[in-house]
Amino acid sequence: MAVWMVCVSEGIVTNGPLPVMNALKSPLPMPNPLDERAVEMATTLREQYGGKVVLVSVGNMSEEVWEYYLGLGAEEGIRVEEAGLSEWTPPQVARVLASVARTLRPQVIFCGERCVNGIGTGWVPFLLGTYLAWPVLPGVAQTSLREETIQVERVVERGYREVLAAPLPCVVSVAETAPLTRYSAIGRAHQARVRRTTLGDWGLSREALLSLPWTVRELSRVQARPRPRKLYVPPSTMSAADRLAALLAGGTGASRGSQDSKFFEGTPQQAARVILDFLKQEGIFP
Amino acid sequence: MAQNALSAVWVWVAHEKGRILEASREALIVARRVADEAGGAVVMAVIFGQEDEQVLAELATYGADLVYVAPEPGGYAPLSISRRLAWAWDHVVPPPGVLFCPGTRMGREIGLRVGAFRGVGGVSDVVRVRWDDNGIVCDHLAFGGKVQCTVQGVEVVILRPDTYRVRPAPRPLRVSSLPEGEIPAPDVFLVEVRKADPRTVPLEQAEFIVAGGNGVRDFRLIWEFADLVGAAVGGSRVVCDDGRLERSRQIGESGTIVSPRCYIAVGISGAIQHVRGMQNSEIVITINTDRHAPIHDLASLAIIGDAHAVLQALIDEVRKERVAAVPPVGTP
Ligand SMILES: Cc1cc2nc3c(=O)[nH]c(=O)nc-3n(C[C@H](O)[C@H](O)[C@H](O)COP(=O)(O)OP(=O)(O)OC[C@H]3O[C@@H](n4cnc5c(N)ncnc54)[C@H](O)[C@@H]3O)c2cc1C
Repeated sequence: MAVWMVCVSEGIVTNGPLPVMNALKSPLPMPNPLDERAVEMATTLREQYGGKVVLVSVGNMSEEVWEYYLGLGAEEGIRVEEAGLSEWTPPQVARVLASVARTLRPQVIFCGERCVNGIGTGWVPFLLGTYLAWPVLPGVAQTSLREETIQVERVVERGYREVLAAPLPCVVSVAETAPLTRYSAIGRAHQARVRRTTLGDWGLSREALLSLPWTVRELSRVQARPRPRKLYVPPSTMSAADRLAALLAGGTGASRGSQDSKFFEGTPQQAARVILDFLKQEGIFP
Repeated sequence: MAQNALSAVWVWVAHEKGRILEASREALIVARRVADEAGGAVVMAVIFGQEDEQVLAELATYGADLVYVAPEPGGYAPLSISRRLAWAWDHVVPPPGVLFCPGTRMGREIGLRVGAFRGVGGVSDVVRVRWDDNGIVCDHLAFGGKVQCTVQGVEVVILRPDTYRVRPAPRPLRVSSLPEGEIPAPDVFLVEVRKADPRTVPLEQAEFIVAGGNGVRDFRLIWEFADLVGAAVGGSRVVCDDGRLERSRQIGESGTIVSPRCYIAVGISGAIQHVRGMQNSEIVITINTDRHAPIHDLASLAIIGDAHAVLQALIDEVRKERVAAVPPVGTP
């Protein structure tokens, strides 16, 4: 029977009423929106090609989040936990997932491209592919199967779509451009068969995991400053008439990059030129 | 590993039509600064594709000491480039201590693939890099961009785009060929690249949106301009309520939440319910008769003017450019 494996992780609520640093101290768990899409993608393939969807989580996950993922439509769930191990590095997570995959032998492993509401540097899908020596298809919006190969579509820059293919089995990382239409149903969650396992069940030891190299060490965390929006700065190549118009509007007269410099008031033709030049400068319109 | 003997840093540089992409210029400038802070490490750029004089000149301008040129990558470029980089990492002298990648889609993928192939640690969304006695220290964004984490021991740095100020830091540039070795056969294949039809693309996937609001009486102008520039069309609730635009194109908290690279808001006031649906757009251009409309708070460029006149001028300008770009009949 075909197995569609989905790796699910947990993020935290960061846009609630609490300042983010307080939210980190008493975290409210929530699903990773990209993992939700990964479950949806697997469920869609199961509906088309049969088989079962198996969710796998590594490390502690709250019951609510786990049930939420199951309720999106999985037949089985595997939780891998290890008492005393709370912070897992990307190689540790990927090593465990690779061991589970060797037993489950899925056609495809789906993961969210990154944990958008966690640390989320996006390393796991690539490490997983490397450990298994399977192809990795990143940032996927849509999938379909053709015999022993998978075809995926991704949204890339400037309104283009890229279609990639790879032999099965493979790792697919799912982007935010993938659809999410299903609701989580508690009844479905309760029908799923769930296994709670430890490292030993997958032939792994804590020592082996701890010895995996990962040089990145976190020193501190602070609240991020809001990122200033990119502002239009009239280019030096602007025609004299356009410069004059911008100047009259307080445009080029303002200091570069200040809030005022973004305002433009001139004739419609001048405004059109300024817009098109800006679109070109940003590579949005060729 | 103590990195306090950093002798070289790598930068994968993306270029197109003889120009280095802005995100790669940022990566070069960051690499130059870290190399200087580390006491004069060598900045080694790597480019794939033809050796282009203009690209080499720009590399020198933005602080590269040495450039490795490699032939156009065959097949699926991010995979073949990262396999070559991962192999060459151990074969260039002096050995680089860190790889910098621009924060573009491809730069990110290359950084992650190289990191995984080599089994080294890295971070993405990096907003600041510096050198101290223990090696490279990076600040990167996490938790949806709300938290800044400071980390050490990073060997692959994927930068956040549009973050660093690019200033020339000219150096004499040496040119060399990237060492080539046996690399595994590809397992991912590029089948096709095609333009999505902006008229049918789901708004949440659109890269470029032209949205009209109550200030636009004639939506034909919105459609005509959007078609000319390849943008998708959206609108505020008011215009969907009265049928100027179909309901499926409503943007906002009770419509679709979008995150395009560019959002042009024409005749839209910027009510909070609308803003919640488009505030993640990277670049916002506003066209509005009212200088005090709240939508301008989000703008990178704010045009004070009449929607219809500016849209008509935009349509005329784009048409004029198109005509000028067509070679006259009879030219070879
Ligand atoms: C529960 C709830 C949910 C809502 N959800 C949404 C939602 O999902 N999406 C949404 O959009 N709204 C939503 N709204 C409605 C929202 O509050 C605003 O009413 C709506 O966004 C206003 O649309 P508008 O900016 O197009 O129109 P207006 O507020 O009428 O603004 C028109 C703008 O056009 C400018 N203008 C006028 N003439 C011209 C001209 N000739 N040239 C250029 N500019 C001109 C004006 O200066 C003004 O700024 C919701 C409201 C509620 C209560």
